[in-house]
Amino acid sequence: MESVLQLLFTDPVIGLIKGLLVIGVVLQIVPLLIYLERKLSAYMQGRLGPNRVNFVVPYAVPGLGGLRLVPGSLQPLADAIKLAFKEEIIPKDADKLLWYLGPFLAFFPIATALAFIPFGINHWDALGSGVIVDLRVCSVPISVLLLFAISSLGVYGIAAGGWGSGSKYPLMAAVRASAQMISYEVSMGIAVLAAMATVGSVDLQQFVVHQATQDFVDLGFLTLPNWLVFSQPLAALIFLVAMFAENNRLPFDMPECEPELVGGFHTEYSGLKFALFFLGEYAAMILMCSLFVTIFLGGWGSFWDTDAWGVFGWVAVDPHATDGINAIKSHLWFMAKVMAILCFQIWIRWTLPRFRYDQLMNIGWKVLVPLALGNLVLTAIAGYFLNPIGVGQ
Amino acid sequence: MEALDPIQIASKDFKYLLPVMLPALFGLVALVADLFSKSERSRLPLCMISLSGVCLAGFSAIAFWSGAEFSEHLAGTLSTSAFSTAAAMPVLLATFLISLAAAHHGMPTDPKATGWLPHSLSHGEFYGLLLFATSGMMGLIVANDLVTFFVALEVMSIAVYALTGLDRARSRAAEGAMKYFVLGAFSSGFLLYGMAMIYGAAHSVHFSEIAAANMSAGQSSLALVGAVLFLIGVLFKVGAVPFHAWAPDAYEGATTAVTGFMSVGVKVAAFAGGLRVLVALGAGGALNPAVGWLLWLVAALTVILGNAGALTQRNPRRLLAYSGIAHTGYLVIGLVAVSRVFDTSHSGYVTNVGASAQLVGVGVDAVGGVLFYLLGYAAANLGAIAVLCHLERDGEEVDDISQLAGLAKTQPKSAFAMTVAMVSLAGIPCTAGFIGKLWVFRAGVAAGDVTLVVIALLMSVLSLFYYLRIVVVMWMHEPGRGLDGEEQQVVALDHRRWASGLAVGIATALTLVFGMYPTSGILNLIKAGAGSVF
Amino acid sequence: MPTLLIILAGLLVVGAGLLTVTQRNPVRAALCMLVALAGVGALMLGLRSPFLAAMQVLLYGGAIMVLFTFVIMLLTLREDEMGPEPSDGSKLGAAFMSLLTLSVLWFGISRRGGASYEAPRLGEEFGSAQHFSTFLYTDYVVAFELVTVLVLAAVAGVIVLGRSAHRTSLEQTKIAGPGEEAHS
Repeated sequence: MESVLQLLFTDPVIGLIKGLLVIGVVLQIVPLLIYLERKLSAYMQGRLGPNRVNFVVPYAVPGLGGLRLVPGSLQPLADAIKLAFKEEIIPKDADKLLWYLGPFLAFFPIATALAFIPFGINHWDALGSGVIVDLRVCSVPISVLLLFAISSLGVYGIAAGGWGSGSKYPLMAAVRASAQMISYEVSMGIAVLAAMATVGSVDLQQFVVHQATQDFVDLGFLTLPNWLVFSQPLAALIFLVAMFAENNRLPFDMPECEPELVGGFHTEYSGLKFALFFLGEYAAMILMCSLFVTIFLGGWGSFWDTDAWGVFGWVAVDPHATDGINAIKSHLWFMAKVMAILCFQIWIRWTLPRFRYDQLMNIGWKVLVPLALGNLVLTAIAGYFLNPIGVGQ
Repeated sequence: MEALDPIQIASKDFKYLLPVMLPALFGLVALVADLFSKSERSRLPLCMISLSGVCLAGFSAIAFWSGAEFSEHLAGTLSTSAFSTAAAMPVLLATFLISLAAAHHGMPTDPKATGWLPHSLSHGEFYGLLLFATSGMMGLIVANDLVTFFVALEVMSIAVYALTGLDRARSRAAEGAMKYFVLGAFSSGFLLYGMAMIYGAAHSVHFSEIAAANMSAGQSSLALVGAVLFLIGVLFKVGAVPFHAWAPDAYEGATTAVTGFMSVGVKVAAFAGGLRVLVALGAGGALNPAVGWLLWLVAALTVILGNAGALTQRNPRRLLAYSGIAHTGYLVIGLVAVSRVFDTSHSGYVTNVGASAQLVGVGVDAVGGVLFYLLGYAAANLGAIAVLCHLERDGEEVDDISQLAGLAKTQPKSAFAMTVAMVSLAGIPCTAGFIGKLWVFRAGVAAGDVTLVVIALLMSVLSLFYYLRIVVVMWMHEPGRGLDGEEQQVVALDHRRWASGLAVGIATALTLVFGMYPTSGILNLIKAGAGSVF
Repeated sequence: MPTLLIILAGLLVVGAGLLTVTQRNPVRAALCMLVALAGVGALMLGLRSPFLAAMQVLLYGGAIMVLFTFVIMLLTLREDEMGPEPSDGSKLGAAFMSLLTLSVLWFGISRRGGASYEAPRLGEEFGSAQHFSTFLYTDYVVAFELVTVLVLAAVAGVIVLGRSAHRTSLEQTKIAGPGEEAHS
């Protein structure tokens, strides 16, 4: 039995399984996320939100009609069906090639970049077979750099779509998107550099291991884990702000702000191409939130150790264990954190108004970049004095 | 090579980097200082910053670089000797004189006017870019590996591209800068291709290891192509034919001060850096005799086309551009002589295997000639440029030599300085230009290229026409009467422009001193520098 | 396996490079150039330099080409503004020059008469981020420091060239900044 599993669990097979798993899960989370966003938005604005398309239990109490479970829960499905059957309209002046390429260029880099996110513990003894599995699709030692390299290509989808539409508003949106993304990528990159210097690695899994295996400070009543959000608070803040701009989310949703640009870069799109843009956008949200969690919030590590009191101790992840339960726990910790950050993004959307375009550029270049640079210099100085040989090693 | 602690490296060898980094540091100071100055005030404080940066760099170069043999520092990325100091002198001279000459640019002729005119050099970035370019040039001179060489070359080039386009009011400036930039980027491509191939053949980017490599085994075509591509890149920077197309437009488009800086500084740095690589390639056996003949052809073409092009020019900057091309040609003769040292068809050629004392003597002579020529050219050319800067009024520059008519009567000192500069550029005895030319031509004859030297001599005679025409216009024409007898506005004397006047004086004095009484200090430095190359 | 990768990536780079030059539509040309640059990244992977490959894609793909497309879109050239189609003569000239360069390079790497050619030996850890940065901060520290001067010079140059012709006019534009304009 064991030998069969060991034969089966070769690198390509495991890679394939993990890849399909990640893509599948993300594709399933997106509709959920859209529903969540609409419901949360409605809650914050005192509305009901989607409430027409439900699971209905038809044999419920006569006279009261069917029992509606989770109002509006089937709305994403209905939306998908609607989009699939919508008429496709191609503008007269569209550049056909770029028009078709746009949505794909927007989605695929994001989907690829997801391969570098560690979504669970780095050594899971797969089904007790003795094969040690690293719970991320692509185990490379420079995953942070590759992730940034590939996800930064996502802007070409917006550019190609905006230009290919042959229409003014999408073009303006594409111009804004490329300027905005490149501006905020700078501060985000420098913020991550400070984090890299603290950890002493450019491997995302090493980031998590570094955060999961040490304590930051013992406050007496509470022991803070060595999460970078505690040791690099400024970098975390900069990353968080830049994340909104990278995702084109309010308060930085310049490329698609409705009052100015109709619908933004996808104004002319309809049907499944629009759906693909939409999918890419939410996948990017998930990607960025996962990245934030991995870099600053300890990834799959738990907030407290396994020796904590009672049920807390049982829930915690042991970074050295290899058993399956531990792996599942690590994954759940990761997902919980990602969901929390996602909800935070939605919350911010209804809290802050949209910035003006020049304000956006000022924040990016005159506030975030100098702050990030200063933080990096401080980190380097501190690193030299605390550990002159090599920070974090 | 073992990995070293960067802090340790910096503390041990940092002083050798000072002459490179001090200009950059003062450039930064100039940029910041500019924030606190207003455009209508004079540029003198920035000029002072620039001058002190240049002087400190010069002192540190003399103090730290002037060894009799090349010594390597900072993990072998720098190597310094008297050669570095000797090559750094004209570069620093250029920055020094141009800083002075540009200091009063845009001062209103009306003494009662309060504010200064907004003009092309009123941006503080002028001094910043000037010093950054100087830093690149110094780096180019001492670079000891291809990587540092390339980066330093680009520092110099990028800053000079920007300086060329500084005058935003004139479309010619944009045109010149654009041409220079695009062709410069193109030539960088050649340079990089060449470097890649040299690395492939020599397995190292360090000059000393390239020189120690045995690339001649079986006539390695890789090293040959690498050397040729590399030389194309360098020849572009010095503006040799057929890579000279950018020079007249860039020189004419730029403000006069910038023209002077790039004609001298870029040429000196590129020749010094190029010489080092050429010698390393030669010692490593990468120089096929064909390379020598290619350089021969380039030298001949450059001398002929440069002088022929200058004959008909009436814009002094354009004239100086073509004359600069011609001087590049004379200097390439020195490169030809150096490449002959490694020519396998000569008996007893030099490689890392063996050396012939006689041929090495020719090489040393050629390098010494090139160094002295560069110094003389720097003094004379900067003298002419400084006079042109001195004659700028209300932001209007001299755009036609007719405007110099009768200068001897209105401003005899400027006319005298211009005359000295022209005479030196033409190579007439008693000036630095004569000694430089003699030195280089002697090396050329000793290396066996008599035909080339004869061509250069003939063209040198031809050049008398256009240099002396300026002298004739200044001394024999009536003020206010141009070449064709047309009315010209007389440039009035302005005593307040002491800075550019000082630049004119220094340049003229140096031209005469180097020509009539080359002090033993300078000559010894140059000879020691030349000796350390081989 | 690395050889196959290098050949495929090389073909990709050359093909995309040709398309970049021949495309009339500027955005398409920019996307082709992006493919070419990514191909160079793949070449670096084939040469055992994953760090450099990531940097290539990150900097050229994620930053420089984004700026290119940004500028192209900002200009939004119409078909009639793009200038005439290059003449057959200049196309032939370009083809000739390319062939000449190609043959010279081929002559170079064919190592005619070269007895034995050995590639430089590289250590096992070559190309990793640690190895790369160790080199950068020790052996090539001077070049690295000079790059800072280079960037500084480039920034100063761009600012001074991008500024309006005279400082006075700059101050006028400052009074009515972009934000105020948007409101009036």
